[in-house]
Amino acid sequence: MKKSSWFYLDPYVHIAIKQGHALVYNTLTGQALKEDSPVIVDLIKKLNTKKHLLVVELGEEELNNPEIAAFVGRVRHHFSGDLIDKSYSGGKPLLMRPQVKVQKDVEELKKGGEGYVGEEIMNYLTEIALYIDNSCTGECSSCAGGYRQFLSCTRGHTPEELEIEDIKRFLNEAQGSSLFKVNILGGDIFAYSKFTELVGYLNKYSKPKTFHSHYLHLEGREEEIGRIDRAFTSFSILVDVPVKEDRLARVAAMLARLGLSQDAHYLFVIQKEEEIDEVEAVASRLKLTHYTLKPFYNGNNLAFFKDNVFVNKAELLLLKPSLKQIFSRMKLNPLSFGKITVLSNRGIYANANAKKIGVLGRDSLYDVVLREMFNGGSWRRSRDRVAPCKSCVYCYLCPPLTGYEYSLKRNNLCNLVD
Amino acid sequence: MRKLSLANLAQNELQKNEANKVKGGLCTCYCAECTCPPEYRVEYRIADKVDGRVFVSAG
Repeated sequence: MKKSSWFYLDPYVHIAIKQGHALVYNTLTGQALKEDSPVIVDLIKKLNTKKHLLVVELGEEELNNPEIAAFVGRVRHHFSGDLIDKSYSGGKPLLMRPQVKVQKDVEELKKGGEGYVGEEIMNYLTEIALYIDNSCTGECSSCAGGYRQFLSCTRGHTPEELEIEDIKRFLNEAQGSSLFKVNILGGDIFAYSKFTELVGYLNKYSKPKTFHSHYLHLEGREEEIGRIDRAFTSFSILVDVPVKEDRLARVAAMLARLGLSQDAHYLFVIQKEEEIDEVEAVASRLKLTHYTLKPFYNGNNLAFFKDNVFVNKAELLLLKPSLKQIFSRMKLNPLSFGKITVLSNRGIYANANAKKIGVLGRDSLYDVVLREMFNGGSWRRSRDRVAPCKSCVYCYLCPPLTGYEYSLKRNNLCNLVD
Repeated sequence: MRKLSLANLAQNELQKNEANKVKGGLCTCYCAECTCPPEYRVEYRIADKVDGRVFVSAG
Protein backbone atom coordinates (compact mmCIF):
# COMPACT_ATOMS: atom_id res chain seq x y z
CA MET A 1 0.00 0.00 0.00
CA LYS A 2 1.26 3.43 -0.92
CA LYS A 3 1.98 5.72 2.00
CA SER A 4 0.51 9.22 2.04
CA SER A 5 0.42 12.08 4.53
CA TRP A 6 -1.48 15.20 5.44
CA PHE A 7 0.65 18.28 4.91
CA TYR A 8 -0.51 21.38 6.73
CA LEU A 9 0.48 24.97 7.39
CA ASP A 10 -0.24 26.40 10.83
CA PRO A 11 -3.01 29.04 11.21
CA TYR A 12 -0.56 31.62 12.51
CA VAL A 13 1.24 31.55 9.17
CA HIS A 14 0.61 34.44 6.78
CA ILE A 15 0.45 33.38 3.13
CA ALA A 16 0.86 35.80 0.24
CA ILE A 17 0.74 34.75 -3.40
CA LYS A 18 1.47 37.34 -6.06
CA GLN A 19 2.53 37.05 -9.69
CA GLY A 20 3.99 33.57 -9.53
CA HIS A 21 5.72 34.06 -6.16
CA ALA A 22 4.58 32.91 -2.75
CA LEU A 23 5.50 33.92 0.77
CA VAL A 24 5.01 31.72 3.83
CA TYR A 25 5.61 33.95 6.84
CA ASN A 26 5.59 32.61 10.38
CA THR A 27 4.05 35.42 12.45
CA LEU A 28 5.35 33.96 15.70
CA THR A 29 9.01 33.61 14.81
CA GLY A 30 9.28 36.20 12.03
CA GLN A 31 10.81 33.67 9.65
CA ALA A 32 9.80 33.79 6.00
CA LEU A 33 10.03 31.45 3.02
CA LYS A 34 9.80 33.03 -0.40
CA GLU A 35 9.04 30.43 -3.01
CA ASP A 36 9.36 30.94 -6.76
CA SER A 37 9.04 27.44 -8.18
CA PRO A 38 5.68 26.93 -9.98
CA VAL A 39 5.28 23.50 -8.34
CA ILE A 40 5.63 24.92 -4.84
CA VAL A 41 3.59 28.04 -5.56
CA ASP A 42 0.76 25.81 -6.82
CA LEU A 43 0.97 23.70 -3.68
CA ILE A 44 0.77 26.80 -1.46
CA LYS A 45 -2.14 28.12 -3.53
CA LYS A 46 -3.95 24.82 -2.97
CA LEU A 47 -3.28 24.93 0.79
CA ASN A 48 -4.65 28.46 0.95
CA THR A 49 -8.05 27.68 -0.62
CA LYS A 50 -11.30 27.48 1.33
CA LYS A 51 -11.70 23.96 0.03
CA HIS A 52 -8.50 22.72 1.62
CA LEU A 53 -8.23 24.99 4.67
CA LEU A 54 -4.46 24.70 5.04
CA VAL A 55 -4.35 20.89 4.77
CA VAL A 56 -3.58 18.82 1.65
CA GLU A 57 -2.80 15.22 1.03
CA LEU A 58 0.68 14.44 -0.23
CA GLY A 59 1.14 11.01 -1.78
CA GLU A 60 4.33 8.99 -1.89
CA GLU A 61 5.10 10.25 -5.37
CA GLU A 62 4.84 13.87 -4.29
CA LEU A 63 6.87 13.28 -1.16
CA ASN A 64 9.58 11.74 -3.29
CA ASN A 65 9.68 14.82 -5.49
CA PRO A 66 12.90 16.52 -4.33
CA GLU A 67 11.43 20.00 -4.82
CA ILE A 68 8.35 19.29 -2.67
CA ALA A 69 10.35 17.31 -0.12
CA ALA A 70 12.77 20.22 0.28
CA PHE A 71 9.88 22.68 0.72
CA VAL A 72 8.25 20.47 3.34
CA GLY A 73 11.61 20.34 5.11
CA ARG A 74 11.90 24.13 5.08
CA VAL A 75 8.36 24.53 6.42
CA ARG A 76 9.04 22.06 9.25
CA HIS A 77 12.36 23.69 10.03
CA HIS A 78 10.57 27.06 10.46
CA PHE A 79 7.80 25.48 12.59
CA SER A 80 5.30 26.76 10.04
CA GLY A 81 3.65 23.42 9.38
CA ASP A 82 4.16 19.67 9.43
CA LEU A 83 3.35 16.28 7.96
CA ILE A 84 1.00 13.82 9.67
CA ASP A 85 0.71 10.21 8.67
CA LYS A 86 -2.70 9.76 7.02
CA SER A 87 -3.35 6.63 9.03
CA TYR A 88 -3.88 8.80 12.14
CA SER A 89 -7.16 10.22 10.87
CA GLY A 90 -10.19 8.69 9.22
CA GLY A 91 -11.31 11.91 7.49
CA LYS A 92 -9.44 14.88 6.23
CA PRO A 93 -8.49 17.22 9.08
CA LEU A 94 -8.89 20.94 8.71
CA LEU A 95 -7.41 24.01 10.28
CA MET A 96 -9.39 27.11 11.06
CA ARG A 97 -7.83 29.70 8.80
CA PRO A 98 -8.12 33.19 10.33
CA GLN A 99 -9.71 35.73 8.04
CA VAL A 100 -9.90 39.44 8.43
CA LYS A 101 -13.26 41.04 9.01
CA VAL A 102 -14.05 44.63 9.88
CA GLN A 103 -16.99 45.44 12.09
CA LYS A 104 -19.13 47.91 10.22
CA ASP A 105 -16.88 47.81 7.16
CA VAL A 106 -17.55 51.01 5.26
CA GLU A 107 -17.55 49.17 1.93
CA GLU A 108 -20.29 46.85 3.20
CA LEU A 109 -22.25 49.72 4.72
CA LYS A 110 -22.13 51.52 1.37
CA LYS A 111 -23.93 48.55 -0.14
CA GLY A 112 -26.75 49.08 2.33
CA GLY A 113 -25.85 46.62 5.04
CA GLU A 114 -26.85 46.97 8.66
CA GLY A 115 -26.32 50.38 10.21
CA TYR A 116 -25.00 53.39 8.35
CA VAL A 117 -21.56 54.83 7.85
CA GLY A 118 -22.13 57.83 10.07
CA GLU A 119 -23.03 55.77 13.10
CA GLU A 120 -20.49 56.36 15.86
CA ILE A 121 -18.16 57.74 13.22
CA MET A 122 -16.50 60.18 15.63
CA ASN A 123 -14.94 57.19 17.33
CA TYR A 124 -12.62 56.94 14.34
CA LEU A 125 -11.04 60.30 15.04
CA THR A 126 -7.86 60.01 17.11
CA GLU A 127 -5.58 62.96 16.34
CA ILE A 128 -5.88 66.55 15.10
CA ALA A 129 -3.07 68.79 13.85
CA LEU A 130 -3.85 72.50 13.72
CA TYR A 131 -1.51 74.84 11.83
CA ILE A 132 -2.68 77.96 13.60
CA ASP A 133 -0.50 80.37 11.59
CA ASN A 134 2.22 80.37 8.95
CA SER A 135 4.38 83.31 9.93
CA CYS A 136 8.06 82.69 10.49
CA THR A 137 11.30 84.52 9.81
CA GLY A 138 13.45 81.41 9.77
CA GLU A 139 15.21 80.00 6.74
CA CYS A 140 15.18 76.24 7.33
CA SER A 141 15.95 74.23 4.23
CA SER A 142 13.35 71.64 5.19
CA CYS A 143 10.57 74.21 5.52
CA ALA A 144 8.77 73.93 2.19
CA GLY A 145 8.21 70.18 2.16
CA GLY A 146 8.98 68.96 5.66
CA TYR A 147 5.42 69.14 6.91
CA ARG A 148 4.36 66.81 4.09
CA GLN A 149 6.82 64.16 5.25
CA PHE A 150 6.38 64.34 9.03
CA LEU A 151 4.63 66.55 11.57
CA SER A 152 6.59 69.81 11.60
CA CYS A 153 6.14 73.53 11.25
CA THR A 154 6.09 75.33 7.91
CA ARG A 155 5.85 78.93 6.78
CA GLY A 156 3.93 80.62 3.97
CA HIS A 157 4.57 83.51 1.61
CA THR A 158 1.45 85.45 2.59
CA PRO A 159 0.50 85.60 6.27
CA GLU A 160 -2.39 83.37 7.29
CA GLU A 161 -3.87 82.32 10.58
CA LEU A 162 -6.88 80.37 11.78
CA GLU A 163 -9.75 82.19 13.48
CA ILE A 164 -9.76 81.41 17.21
CA GLU A 165 -13.52 80.87 17.17
CA ASP A 166 -13.20 78.33 14.34
CA ILE A 167 -10.53 76.45 16.32
CA LYS A 168 -12.71 76.37 19.43
CA ARG A 169 -15.75 75.19 17.49
CA PHE A 170 -13.74 72.48 15.76
CA LEU A 171 -12.20 71.19 18.98
CA ASN A 172 -15.51 71.37 20.82
CA GLU A 173 -16.99 69.10 18.16
CA ALA A 174 -14.24 66.59 18.90
CA GLN A 175 -15.04 66.44 22.62
CA GLY A 176 -17.18 63.33 22.35
CA SER A 177 -14.83 61.54 19.99
CA SER A 178 -11.94 59.15 20.61
CA LEU A 179 -9.47 61.98 20.07
CA PHE A 180 -6.34 61.39 22.07
CA LYS A 181 -4.06 64.14 20.86
CA VAL A 182 -4.21 67.73 19.61
CA ASN A 183 -1.11 69.06 17.84
CA ILE A 184 -0.58 72.81 17.69
CA LEU A 185 1.79 73.96 14.93
CA GLY A 186 2.73 77.08 12.92
CA GLY A 187 4.78 78.97 11.51
CA ASP A 188 5.82 80.40 14.77
CA ILE A 189 3.00 79.46 17.14
CA PHE A 190 4.02 82.24 19.55
CA ALA A 191 3.40 84.79 16.78
CA TYR A 192 -0.26 83.75 16.59
CA SER A 193 -2.28 86.87 17.38
CA LYS A 194 -4.60 85.09 19.84
CA PHE A 195 -1.96 82.84 21.41
CA THR A 196 -2.83 83.75 25.01
CA GLU A 197 -6.54 83.19 24.41
CA LEU A 198 -5.80 79.88 22.68
CA VAL A 199 -3.64 78.67 25.56
CA GLY A 200 -6.39 79.67 28.01
CA TYR A 201 -8.86 77.58 26.02
CA LEU A 202 -6.50 74.59 25.61
CA ASN A 203 -5.65 74.62 29.33
CA LYS A 204 -9.28 73.75 29.97
CA TYR A 205 -9.52 71.31 27.04
CA SER A 206 -9.56 67.78 28.35
CA LYS A 207 -7.47 66.04 25.65
CA PRO A 208 -3.64 65.72 25.58
CA LYS A 209 -1.89 68.47 23.64
CA THR A 210 1.49 68.75 21.90
CA PHE A 211 2.92 72.15 21.01
CA HIS A 212 5.30 72.00 18.04
CA SER A 213 7.89 74.68 17.65
CA HIS A 214 11.23 75.34 15.99
CA TYR A 215 13.84 75.61 18.74
CA LEU A 216 14.73 79.19 17.83
CA HIS A 217 11.09 80.22 18.27
CA LEU A 218 11.27 79.14 21.91
CA GLU A 219 14.01 81.65 22.76
CA GLY A 220 12.68 84.35 25.04
CA ARG A 221 9.26 82.72 25.31
CA GLU A 222 9.57 81.61 28.92
CA GLU A 223 6.55 83.64 29.97
CA GLU A 224 4.29 82.30 27.20
CA ILE A 225 5.39 78.71 27.84
CA GLY A 226 4.87 79.21 31.55
CA ARG A 227 1.19 79.99 30.89
CA ILE A 228 0.64 76.57 29.34
CA ASP A 229 -0.88 74.07 31.77
CA ARG A 230 1.58 71.20 32.03
CA ALA A 231 -1.02 68.49 32.60
CA PHE A 232 -1.31 66.31 29.51
CA THR A 233 0.95 68.67 27.56
CA SER A 234 4.15 67.93 25.69
CA PHE A 235 6.48 69.86 23.40
CA SER A 236 7.93 68.75 20.07
CA ILE A 237 10.95 70.85 19.21
CA LEU A 238 12.18 70.94 15.62
CA VAL A 239 15.92 71.34 15.15
CA ASP A 240 17.43 71.79 11.70
CA VAL A 241 21.06 71.13 10.88
CA PRO A 242 23.58 72.74 11.19
CA VAL A 243 22.56 73.18 14.81
CA LYS A 244 23.21 76.47 16.58
CA GLU A 245 24.39 74.60 19.63
CA ASP A 246 24.70 77.51 22.06
CA ARG A 247 21.14 78.62 21.31
CA LEU A 248 19.78 75.08 21.56
CA ALA A 249 21.57 74.76 24.91
CA ARG A 250 19.85 77.93 26.15
CA VAL A 251 16.45 76.56 25.05
CA ALA A 252 17.12 73.23 26.78
CA ALA A 253 18.17 75.10 29.93
CA MET A 254 15.02 77.22 29.86
CA LEU A 255 12.83 74.12 29.53
CA ALA A 256 14.71 72.56 32.44
CA ARG A 257 14.06 75.70 34.55
CA LEU A 258 10.35 75.36 33.74
CA GLY A 259 10.49 71.68 34.70
CA LEU A 260 9.63 70.63 31.15
CA SER A 261 12.69 68.57 30.20
CA GLN A 262 10.79 65.29 30.45
CA ASP A 263 7.91 66.65 28.36
CA ALA A 264 10.12 67.95 25.55
CA HIS A 265 11.01 65.83 22.54
CA TYR A 266 13.59 67.06 20.01
CA LEU A 267 13.17 66.32 16.32
CA PHE A 268 16.44 66.66 14.36
CA VAL A 269 15.97 67.00 10.61
CA ILE A 270 18.59 65.04 8.68
CA GLN A 271 19.32 65.50 4.98
CA LYS A 272 22.67 63.75 4.58
CA GLU A 273 24.59 60.98 6.25
CA GLU A 274 27.28 63.16 7.84
CA GLU A 275 24.60 64.98 9.82
CA ILE A 276 23.75 61.84 11.77
CA ASP A 277 27.06 61.90 13.69
CA GLU A 278 26.87 65.67 14.11
CA VAL A 279 23.42 65.45 15.68
CA GLU A 280 24.34 62.49 17.89
CA ALA A 281 27.31 64.49 19.19
CA VAL A 282 25.18 67.57 19.92
CA ALA A 283 22.53 65.48 21.70
CA SER A 284 25.21 63.81 23.77
CA ARG A 285 26.93 67.11 24.72
CA LEU A 286 23.61 68.70 25.71
CA LYS A 287 22.48 65.51 27.45
CA LEU A 288 19.26 65.36 25.44
CA THR A 289 17.59 62.04 26.07
CA HIS A 290 14.28 62.40 24.23
CA TYR A 291 15.14 62.98 20.60
CA THR A 292 14.45 61.51 17.16
CA LEU A 293 16.23 61.85 13.85
CA LYS A 294 13.89 62.52 10.95
CA PRO A 295 15.22 62.15 7.42
CA PHE A 296 14.03 64.86 5.03
CA TYR A 297 13.84 64.37 1.29
CA ASN A 298 14.84 67.62 -0.38
CA GLY A 299 14.64 66.46 -3.98
CA ASN A 300 18.38 65.99 -4.29
CA ASN A 301 19.25 63.38 -1.69
CA LEU A 302 17.84 60.21 -3.19
CA ALA A 303 21.15 58.38 -2.67
CA PHE A 304 21.02 59.21 1.06
CA PHE A 305 17.48 57.84 1.22
CA LYS A 306 18.41 54.69 -0.71
CA ASP A 307 21.32 54.04 1.66
CA ASN A 308 19.65 54.93 4.94
CA VAL A 309 15.88 54.99 4.68
CA PHE A 310 14.82 52.41 2.10
CA VAL A 311 13.88 49.15 3.80
CA ASN A 312 15.48 45.82 3.08
CA LYS A 313 14.16 42.31 3.59
CA ALA A 314 16.16 41.67 6.76
CA GLU A 315 14.67 44.75 8.46
CA LEU A 316 11.12 43.80 7.50
CA LEU A 317 11.57 40.41 9.13
CA LEU A 318 13.31 41.94 12.14
CA LEU A 319 10.12 43.89 12.92
CA LYS A 320 8.22 40.59 13.15
CA PRO A 321 4.81 42.01 12.25
CA SER A 322 2.10 40.02 14.01
CA LEU A 323 -0.98 38.54 12.35
CA LYS A 324 -3.05 41.35 13.89
CA GLN A 325 -0.75 43.97 12.40
CA ILE A 326 -0.88 42.26 9.03
CA PHE A 327 -4.67 42.14 9.15
CA SER A 328 -4.93 45.79 10.08
CA ARG A 329 -2.62 46.68 7.15
CA MET A 330 -4.96 44.85 4.79
CA LYS A 331 -7.83 47.14 5.70
CA LEU A 332 -6.38 50.49 6.64
CA ASN A 333 -3.28 52.60 7.00
CA PRO A 334 -2.47 52.38 10.74
CA LEU A 335 -0.15 55.39 10.50
CA SER A 336 -2.69 57.82 9.10
CA PHE A 337 -6.03 56.38 10.18
CA GLY A 338 -7.97 58.73 12.43
CA LYS A 339 -5.77 61.79 11.84
CA ILE A 340 -6.99 65.15 10.60
CA THR A 341 -4.80 68.11 9.61
CA VAL A 342 -5.98 71.72 9.33
CA LEU A 343 -3.56 74.01 7.52
CA SER A 344 -3.33 77.76 8.14
CA ASN A 345 -5.29 78.36 4.89
CA ARG A 346 -8.26 76.68 6.67
CA GLY A 347 -8.06 73.63 4.41
CA ILE A 348 -8.85 70.36 6.19
CA TYR A 349 -6.97 67.24 5.13
CA ALA A 350 -6.82 63.61 6.16
CA ASN A 351 -3.20 63.80 5.05
CA ALA A 352 -1.22 66.91 4.14
CA ASN A 353 -0.38 65.30 0.78
CA ALA A 354 -3.91 64.35 -0.19
CA LYS A 355 -6.90 66.28 -1.50
CA LYS A 356 -8.73 68.74 0.73
CA ILE A 357 -11.75 67.20 2.45
CA GLY A 358 -13.18 70.34 3.99
CA VAL A 359 -12.76 73.95 5.04
CA LEU A 360 -12.52 75.10 8.65
CA GLY A 361 -15.44 77.34 9.56
CA ARG A 362 -17.57 75.89 6.76
CA ASP A 363 -17.57 72.12 7.29
CA SER A 364 -18.23 70.33 10.54
CA LEU A 365 -15.73 67.85 11.92
CA TYR A 366 -18.36 65.15 11.57
CA ASP A 367 -18.73 65.90 7.85
CA VAL A 368 -15.01 65.72 7.12
CA VAL A 369 -14.57 62.45 9.00
CA LEU A 370 -17.55 61.02 7.13
CA ARG A 371 -16.14 62.27 3.81
CA GLU A 372 -12.79 60.64 4.45
CA MET A 373 -14.38 57.35 5.46
CA PHE A 374 -16.66 57.34 2.46
CA ASN A 375 -14.56 58.74 -0.37
CA GLY A 376 -11.18 59.58 1.03
CA GLY A 377 -7.90 58.15 -0.07
CA SER A 378 -5.75 58.44 3.04
CA TRP A 379 -7.03 56.57 6.07
CA ARG A 380 -7.66 53.38 4.16
CA ARG A 381 -4.76 53.73 1.73
CA SER A 382 -2.93 50.48 2.24
CA ARG A 383 -0.04 49.10 0.22
CA ASP A 384 -2.24 46.62 -1.59
CA ARG A 385 -3.95 49.58 -3.29
CA VAL A 386 -0.79 51.06 -4.80
CA ALA A 387 1.70 49.91 -7.44
CA PRO A 388 4.15 48.24 -7.38
CA CYS A 389 3.54 47.18 -3.74
CA LYS A 390 0.26 45.45 -4.56
CA SER A 391 2.21 42.95 -6.67
CA CYS A 392 4.79 42.24 -3.98
CA VAL A 393 4.50 39.29 -1.58
CA TYR A 394 6.03 41.43 1.21
CA CYS A 395 3.24 44.02 0.82
CA TYR A 396 1.69 43.48 4.28
CA LEU A 397 4.99 43.02 6.06
CA CYS A 398 6.13 46.45 4.89
CA PRO A 399 5.51 49.51 7.09
CA PRO A 400 2.38 51.47 6.12
CA LEU A 401 2.61 54.29 3.56
CA THR A 402 3.96 57.53 5.01
CA GLY A 403 4.47 61.06 3.74
CA TYR A 404 7.83 60.07 2.25
CA GLU A 405 6.25 58.02 -0.53
CA TYR A 406 4.35 61.10 -1.71
CA SER A 407 7.44 63.29 -1.65
CA LEU A 408 9.63 60.77 -3.46
CA LYS A 409 6.78 60.05 -5.89
CA ARG A 410 7.27 56.30 -5.52
CA ASN A 411 5.54 53.85 -3.22
CA ASN A 412 8.26 51.24 -2.92
CA LEU A 413 10.86 52.79 -0.65
CA CYS A 414 12.67 49.49 -0.60
CA ASN A 415 15.22 47.42 -2.43
CA LEU A 416 12.82 44.49 -2.84
CA VAL A 417 10.96 45.71 -5.94
CA ASP A 418 12.44 47.89 -8.72
CA MET B 1 18.30 47.89 12.30
CA ARG B 2 19.47 51.16 10.75
CA LYS B 3 18.32 54.17 12.74
CA LEU B 4 16.77 56.03 9.79
CA SER B 5 15.27 53.01 8.08
CA LEU B 6 11.64 53.52 7.16
CA ALA B 7 10.94 50.25 8.97
CA ASN B 8 12.37 51.69 12.19
CA LEU B 9 10.73 55.11 11.78
CA ALA B 10 7.31 53.62 11.07
CA GLN B 11 7.65 51.17 13.95
CA ASN B 12 8.47 54.01 16.36
CA GLU B 13 5.53 56.01 15.10
CA LEU B 14 3.17 53.06 15.48
CA GLN B 15 4.44 52.38 18.99
CA LYS B 16 3.88 56.04 19.88
CA ASN B 17 0.33 55.79 18.50
CA GLU B 18 -0.34 52.69 20.55
CA ALA B 19 1.11 54.30 23.68
CA ASN B 20 -1.10 57.35 23.17
CA LYS B 21 -4.12 55.13 22.73
CA VAL B 22 -3.28 53.31 25.94
CA LYS B 23 -2.97 56.66 27.73
CA GLY B 24 -6.32 57.68 26.25
CA GLY B 25 -7.88 54.38 27.28
CA LEU B 26 -8.49 53.35 23.67
CA CYS B 27 -8.37 50.07 21.84
CA THR B 28 -4.96 48.97 20.60
CA CYS B 29 -5.66 45.38 19.83
CA TYR B 30 -8.07 45.31 16.88
CA CYS B 31 -9.41 42.08 18.37
CA ALA B 32 -12.95 40.77 18.48
CA GLU B 33 -12.97 40.52 22.26
CA CYS B 34 -12.22 44.21 22.64
CA THR B 35 -15.01 46.25 24.15
CA CYS B 36 -13.30 49.62 23.73
CA PRO B 37 -15.11 52.43 21.88
CA PRO B 38 -13.55 52.43 18.37
CA GLU B 39 -15.85 50.56 16.03
CA TYR B 40 -13.40 50.49 13.20
CA ARG B 41 -11.17 47.67 14.24
CA VAL B 42 -10.15 44.38 12.83
CA GLU B 43 -11.14 41.07 14.30
CA TYR B 44 -10.36 37.44 13.64
CA ARG B 45 -12.99 35.36 12.03
CA ILE B 46 -12.94 31.62 11.92
CA ALA B 47 -13.68 30.26 8.48
CA ASP B 48 -16.73 28.49 9.75
CA LYS B 49 -18.86 28.73 6.65
CA VAL B 50 -17.98 28.16 3.06
CA ASP B 51 -20.73 28.42 0.47
CA GLY B 52 -23.32 28.25 3.22
CA ARG B 53 -22.06 24.94 4.59
CA VAL B 54 -20.70 24.79 8.11
CA PHE B 55 -17.29 23.18 8.05
CA VAL B 56 -16.93 20.60 10.74
CA SER B 57 -14.69 18.41 8.69
CA ALA B 58 -13.81 18.11 5.06
CA GLY B 59 -13.59 14.72 3.48
